[in-house]
Amino acid sequence: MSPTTEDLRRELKSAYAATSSGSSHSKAAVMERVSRKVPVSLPEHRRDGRSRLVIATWVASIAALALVTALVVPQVINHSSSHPAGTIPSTRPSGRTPLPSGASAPSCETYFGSAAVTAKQFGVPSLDGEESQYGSVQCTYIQYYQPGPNHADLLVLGLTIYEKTIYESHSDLRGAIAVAKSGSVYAYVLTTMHSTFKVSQARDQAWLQTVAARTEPPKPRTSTTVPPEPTATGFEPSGATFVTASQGWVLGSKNSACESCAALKVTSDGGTTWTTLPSPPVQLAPYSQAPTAVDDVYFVNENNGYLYGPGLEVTTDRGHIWTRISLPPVIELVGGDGYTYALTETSYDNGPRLWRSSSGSKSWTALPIPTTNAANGLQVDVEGNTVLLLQHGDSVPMTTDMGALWRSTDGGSIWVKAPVPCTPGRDGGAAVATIALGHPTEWLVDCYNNEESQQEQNSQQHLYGTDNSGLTWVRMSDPTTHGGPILLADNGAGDDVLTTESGIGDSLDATFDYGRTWSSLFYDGGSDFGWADLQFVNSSIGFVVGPTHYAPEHLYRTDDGGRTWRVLTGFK
Amino acid sequence: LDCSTDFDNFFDQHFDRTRRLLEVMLGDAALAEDAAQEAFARGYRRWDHVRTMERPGGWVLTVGLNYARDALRRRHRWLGQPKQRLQAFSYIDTHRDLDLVTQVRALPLRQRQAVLLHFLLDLPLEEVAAQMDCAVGTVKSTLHSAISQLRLNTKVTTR
Repeated sequence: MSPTTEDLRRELKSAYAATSSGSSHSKAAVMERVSRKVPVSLPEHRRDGRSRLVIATWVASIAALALVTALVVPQVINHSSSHPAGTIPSTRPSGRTPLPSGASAPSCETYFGSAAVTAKQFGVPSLDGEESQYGSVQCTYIQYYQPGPNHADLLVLGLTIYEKTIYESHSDLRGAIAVAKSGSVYAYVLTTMHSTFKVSQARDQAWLQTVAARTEPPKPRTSTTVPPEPTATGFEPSGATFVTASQGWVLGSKNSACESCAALKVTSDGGTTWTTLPSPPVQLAPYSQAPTAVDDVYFVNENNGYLYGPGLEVTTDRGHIWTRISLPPVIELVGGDGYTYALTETSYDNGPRLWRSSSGSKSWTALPIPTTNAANGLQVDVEGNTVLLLQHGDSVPMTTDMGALWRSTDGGSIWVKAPVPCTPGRDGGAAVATIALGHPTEWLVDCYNNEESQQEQNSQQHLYGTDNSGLTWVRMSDPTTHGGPILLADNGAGDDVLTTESGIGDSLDATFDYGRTWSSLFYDGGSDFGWADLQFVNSSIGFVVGPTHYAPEHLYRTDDGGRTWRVLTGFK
Repeated sequence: LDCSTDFDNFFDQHFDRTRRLLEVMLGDAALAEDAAQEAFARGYRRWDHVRTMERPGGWVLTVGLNYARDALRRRHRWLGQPKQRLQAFSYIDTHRDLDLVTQVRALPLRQRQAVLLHFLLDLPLEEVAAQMDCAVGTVKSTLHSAISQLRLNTKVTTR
């Protein structure tokens, strides 16, 4: 017999009664959060609850960027190699002046590297203070800047719109976009996914009329068809894998109406066009909490692949037919020469196990694992026959738990402990490690900085590199001053990419000179959610999934070792 | 001074309730504490605005719930994540004999919120709508979905 709503009422009340009553330290903890330092590179308007809208506009703007890139400015993009995206050329405003440390950032500015810029510096009139039907514009800020030849620059603007509540309203994406050329502005008010930005009391009507008059975009220079906006299909990438620069798969939510419905797509042209494969017989995690659900995809070669996390499925026919494998929940899955490795947990407290399978095989062998201490987690990376196992250290200040590192050169049978570069007193524990593509003895390890924990959202990293399997380590420049390190990759040619996440900002930072100097390429308003599958398939071409707060996430591709990234669309 | 006293009162009145509601909704005391702290910290930062709201208590609950959802949605591919998030992920899987409260925790968060406000706090639909900042009709349909979902699950598990 079905329970009634009265049963529900009673059970809820008893569950409520069973919760523990208050602890006295909560108020102090709240105040500690309030006074918490925030990164100086974070504009004011991205700090608070409005960051949701910032991200929303960011999504819209990137969508628009893809659109406009195809429509309007292919030459701008093509000739932009003299300036890496996201930096301001010296002829443009202000140049690189370091921010005083601890300074609070003025609102409505955007930081590229260490240079603060505002939309006004580009001759773009601000919409600040104007009213839309949803609320007033707080900031007109620069979302994306792509320098071009002769100052034919692409400028993507975002609007922060303040609403009377900060309830999430991510279905209302808004944005604005402008292309600035030689001082004059060709601008488009972007009609975004769900609403038009309606300016009822425009302070700068003349500009808006100019904008409106120019909403007809210039004729495309090529016959490129307009890519659909990424959200048009509702497909949201969750994980991606590429076996070559052209052959890849992406796993994601079928559409926003069914986030847990897994959909798998394949490309053979590097991500320009995608073909939908038969729906895999699994649900998508974490939307589905089933133990068989998966949230990522990995292919060893063009035929053999896996869906994993926490479930595990294997295919030998390019992703058409899947066979379920019974392993403990899979946390991580990586491939090397002839073998695929899976890191699993039996339960969080019972410790991890490492498994190996020959490519194409459905059987898995448990490997000896040199540690069972997973209190801070484990990470595995593979290059050829070399397997690197990192036991994460602690992120809190003054820790002596630096973590530990083991190396196997025989595919995980024999493990040798390698020194961890993180040193008590100087560093926090080891956070993330990677092997350089094609160089099994060259590793990077990023340590916390012994000052702020990852939880504090302002941790800095201390990065170390070795080219001799950890015998000697060299301290490299600190990649960034914010966020918890999540993913690290090295293309084997001196280009490293690091992604970070925190509650108030996700970033992608990169170096193109073996770690001497780093620059921040992406920064969103903060989601604590998002990066996945950062990978280089060769020294030029790489991919990453992320980082947005809400659907859709994006799949990014770089063709120049991580200097510039573009959103792949065209998911059918 | 007046402003902070004001916030202190608000904190004393609402924090514990918010945290406990979140715990019922999430089945995870640590995450509930985390989310409640974050919600009140955000409330404090924009207290000038929040204090003028008709129902700041509903506001912090929603903010906390949204924060918790982000935490739950976050991928746990990085094993170094706090333990409670992983446990929250696997909570449903490890409790095979689903009681009603556990089933409520499997509902979408908006449904959970509506269910708790209405059935646990006994708030009338109008008040639930005000706290969730949506129309009464939306609350009704949200509750309807939740109730039919719970009944459906119940039938499956009791046979």
